Amino acid sequence: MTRRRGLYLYAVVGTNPAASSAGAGVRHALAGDVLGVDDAPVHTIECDGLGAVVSKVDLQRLAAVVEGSAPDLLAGLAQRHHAVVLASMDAVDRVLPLRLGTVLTGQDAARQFLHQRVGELSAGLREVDGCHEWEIAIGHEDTVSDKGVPVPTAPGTESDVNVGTAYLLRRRDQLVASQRRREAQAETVAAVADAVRALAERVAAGRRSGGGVLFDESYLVRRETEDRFLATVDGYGDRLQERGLRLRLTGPWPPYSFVPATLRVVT
Amino acid sequence: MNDHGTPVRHAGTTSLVDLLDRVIDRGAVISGDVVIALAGVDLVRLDLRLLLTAVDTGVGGHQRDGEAGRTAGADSHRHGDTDRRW
Repeated sequence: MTRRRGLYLYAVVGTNPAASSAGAGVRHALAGDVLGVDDAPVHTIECDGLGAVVSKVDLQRLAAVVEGSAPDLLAGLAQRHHAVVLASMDAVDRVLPLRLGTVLTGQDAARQFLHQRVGELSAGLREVDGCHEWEIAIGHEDTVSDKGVPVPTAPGTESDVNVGTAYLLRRRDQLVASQRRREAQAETVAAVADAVRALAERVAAGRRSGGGVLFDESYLVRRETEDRFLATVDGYGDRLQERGLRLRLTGPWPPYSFVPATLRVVT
Repeated sequence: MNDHGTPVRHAGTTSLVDLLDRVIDRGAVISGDVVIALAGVDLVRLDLRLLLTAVDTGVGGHQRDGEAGRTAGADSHRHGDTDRRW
């Protein structure tokens, strides 16, 4: 018989920090006013001091979303997933976001998952405690790229050797200037990277590359360090602009890039 | 927090592309019998770039949707700009 319903899993949260009853907090914050996939109410299943933030889901409907590759449905699912993760973060400091489309067979499965992986999950929660994720990508400004460097016009039919020499000298100067610009850009990128990495708890390589992207990394930043992190990024504004570079910052995100690797549950 | 320095970044709302990039490709993964395999999910991951393009052109206008469901602290949860060049 085909299974018809499952439990959509959004995040794992810590429910027993010493100082507060965060379990009650997350239950309260998620009670009633947060709706999950398919507008199902979100609740937590607790085990071993951990909470699984879940909602019931109709598998046929969910499968239709992910299999149909309908962009707007997928976007809606992603937004709902993210909204529940954000609501969880409002309720407790320690949240490990799950990947989109994680569906458990039921409440027992959720408890089994929490129980079997309590060590990694607890360690993972401690690592992201009080932190947000930020991403920085640096790329070329559209107006500044190697393609934009004008190649000097070739010497005409004049046989004067000086004309040819002058052309080669000009061309050489341009190549040198281009090389210097690239070096200056690389130096600036390295300087930004060093400065922001120093303020991050952890760093994760991004996957953006090509298309003028020189650099892409995500950072796990403590909330009390965020102002310094942002001021540091802003402090490089003039230099980046002078070098023909553009920095793109997104965040604060839940720590999607700083969660434990694949968690296997053996039944 | 935007008052200092040259504005090298653009405070704005969640870009759908950035959001999909995170939730589809990152976040903890569970394996084993407790998880229901949705046939389409892996496909979705494989076709991420294609989907992002489709989403970007299809429903990219709904920038604020990523903030739906927030209950507090909206001010402290700014998201990145909406520049799609990268």
